[in-house]
Amino acid sequence: MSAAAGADHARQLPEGADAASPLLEIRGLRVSFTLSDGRRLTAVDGINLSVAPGEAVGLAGESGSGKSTAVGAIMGLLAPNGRIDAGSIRYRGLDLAAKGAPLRRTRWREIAVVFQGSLVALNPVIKVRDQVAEAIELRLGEPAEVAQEKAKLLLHDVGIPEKRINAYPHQLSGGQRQRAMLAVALSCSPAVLIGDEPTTALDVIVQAQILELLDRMRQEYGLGLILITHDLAVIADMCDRVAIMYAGRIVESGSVKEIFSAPRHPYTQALLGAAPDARAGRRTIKVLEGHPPDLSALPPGCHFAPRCPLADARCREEDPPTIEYADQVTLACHRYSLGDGKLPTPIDAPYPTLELGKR
Amino acid sequence: MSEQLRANTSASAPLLRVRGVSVTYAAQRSIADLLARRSASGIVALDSVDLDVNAGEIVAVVGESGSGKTTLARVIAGLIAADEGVVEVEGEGPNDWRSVGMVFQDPYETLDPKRTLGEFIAEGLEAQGLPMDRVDTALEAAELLPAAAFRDRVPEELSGGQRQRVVIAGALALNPKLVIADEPVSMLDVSMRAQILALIEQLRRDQGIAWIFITHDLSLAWAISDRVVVLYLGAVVEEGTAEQVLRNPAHPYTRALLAALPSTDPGAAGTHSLAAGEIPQGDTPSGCRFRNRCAHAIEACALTRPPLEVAPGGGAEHRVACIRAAELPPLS
Repeated sequence: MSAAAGADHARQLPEGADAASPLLEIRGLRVSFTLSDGRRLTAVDGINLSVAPGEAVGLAGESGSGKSTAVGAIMGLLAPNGRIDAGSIRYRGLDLAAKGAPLRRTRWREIAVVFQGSLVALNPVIKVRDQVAEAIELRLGEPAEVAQEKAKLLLHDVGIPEKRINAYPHQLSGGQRQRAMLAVALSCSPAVLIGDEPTTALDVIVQAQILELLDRMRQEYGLGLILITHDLAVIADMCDRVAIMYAGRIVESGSVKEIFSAPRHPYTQALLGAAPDARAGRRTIKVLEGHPPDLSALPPGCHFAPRCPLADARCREEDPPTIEYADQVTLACHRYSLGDGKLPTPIDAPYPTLELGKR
Repeated sequence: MSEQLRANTSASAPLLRVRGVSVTYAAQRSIADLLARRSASGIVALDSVDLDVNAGEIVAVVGESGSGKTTLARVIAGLIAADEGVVEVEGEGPNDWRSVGMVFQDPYETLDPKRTLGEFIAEGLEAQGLPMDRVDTALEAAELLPAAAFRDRVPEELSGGQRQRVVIAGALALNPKLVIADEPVSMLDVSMRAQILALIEQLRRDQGIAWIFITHDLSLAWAISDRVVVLYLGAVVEEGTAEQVLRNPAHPYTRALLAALPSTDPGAAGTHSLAAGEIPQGDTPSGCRFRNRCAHAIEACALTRPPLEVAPGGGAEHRVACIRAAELPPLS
């Protein structure tokens, strides 16, 4: 059922956008923050990312990798000490990173986001149906009655039982609150949906339910879905393409099939090998020593070099160029050369391994 | 296996023996209770739980939020008293808790930001009347090397993984035979997790420390533990060796947990939710606790609490609480 979420009206694009341009295309985006002592910290350092209608793209990285800052930039919700230094964020050709971009027009109506902490994102003193209806009234200018009816349909669509739609957020379970958040995000029929760790706080069975729901919404509404998570397994399950971030840069990207079956960047290899996998029967894990760098004091060269078993002198001095191979596969690692344009053979980075459960 | 571990495991009685432990939290008396002139209905957190842990053994307790796993940890650690049942460590009642250490999920909450790591560890030693020279030994055992470089630092100067090492060092200082770790890696980045898991394994191997590893992550439970115990709404619904429970899950709840696990293996099937809804927050259902969410439930499931019995086709130590276990379809 898609009556509530906008397949019912032709999309009116904001001024300056055109339907023939790609849905969302980020090029060379750089975002920095001014620290209290006056220093600047570059949280996102020249990333490229795109999503097409109906496509699911995963952005993976650990805390401090810059993935949530990228969301802030796309939504125009950066903290006051943050700013976009370079690059473009084109929504249907309209650059949202440019000065004076109509962010109030695009935020929620064109690009919406679901965050991790649904209890803080929902207003505790307003019934969930009214919150969805209010979003529709305020942002789309619909009359109250129409908004209430749409809200009811939308809450039904995301799986909130009829008798719960007039509940307050604290009366709902964790999974129901996340469903309600999704209803709020979808209330203005966005074309792009960003999930910023949308299932991280949930139990595993409820996570599976919410992921199934997100996948159904993507298909029904032809949403471009950007899924931001530290959990590569969630991306493997949900996404067509993936980009791996480390210390503000995308170190490797490509189709999920390509990257997960033949990871090339040593960091991707470490992330994929760091957790045991009961379903795959794998108990041996790779141990990545050290910890992510302090973004305000980054070493020169490849940011991953201090933790990389393959790093040599050049890695510690020169930034690795990002090389684009066929099929949108990119890699930023000195240890691979451009060659003849074909995808290079993965080099197995010799991490120490640990066989768990060895007795 | 070290000599110490060999000596420990040869003892016949379990290190930890939990029998019939029940805990009920008092609920606030609701208006409905007042009108019906009822006393407040308590929330059953644990219902007659049995658990054995042998010396040098790693037992994973698996459950979602609301399963009672944290209550069980607190009862075993002596932080809360059980309403019913027995908890014994080396045959002793809850007066010798020195041999049980505790590691919580969030190192940020356990550590006082204003105190040095040395002060944090010394505090535990002082409470137990142990000598202060154990501070450095504990830091070294948790691989915070050299100890002198960490003793005078404050938590702010450490990474998340290092902070969790400090919490582990605090537990190790008391020379425990058993450490209860409640979701010890769930707040850490994935690259930090492996380091902590390696440490837990190493302490088991070298010092013969037994662990109760509490987690919601079935993959982790399978990988790190000798035995897995699955809790649902305060009761054990399945237990067995890690291999038995994960390769041949006999309870519909365990099967749902497994099916919901995403995998990065390109050959693995996608996740799906086999169970409806979420853990109920209010009254526990009659009969089988899981029946309201279970695809295999029949009328008989509502009548009696299913006892833990040997799982169909399983070894004696693989037990399940489901009257339909023998009739469940094979897992695809």
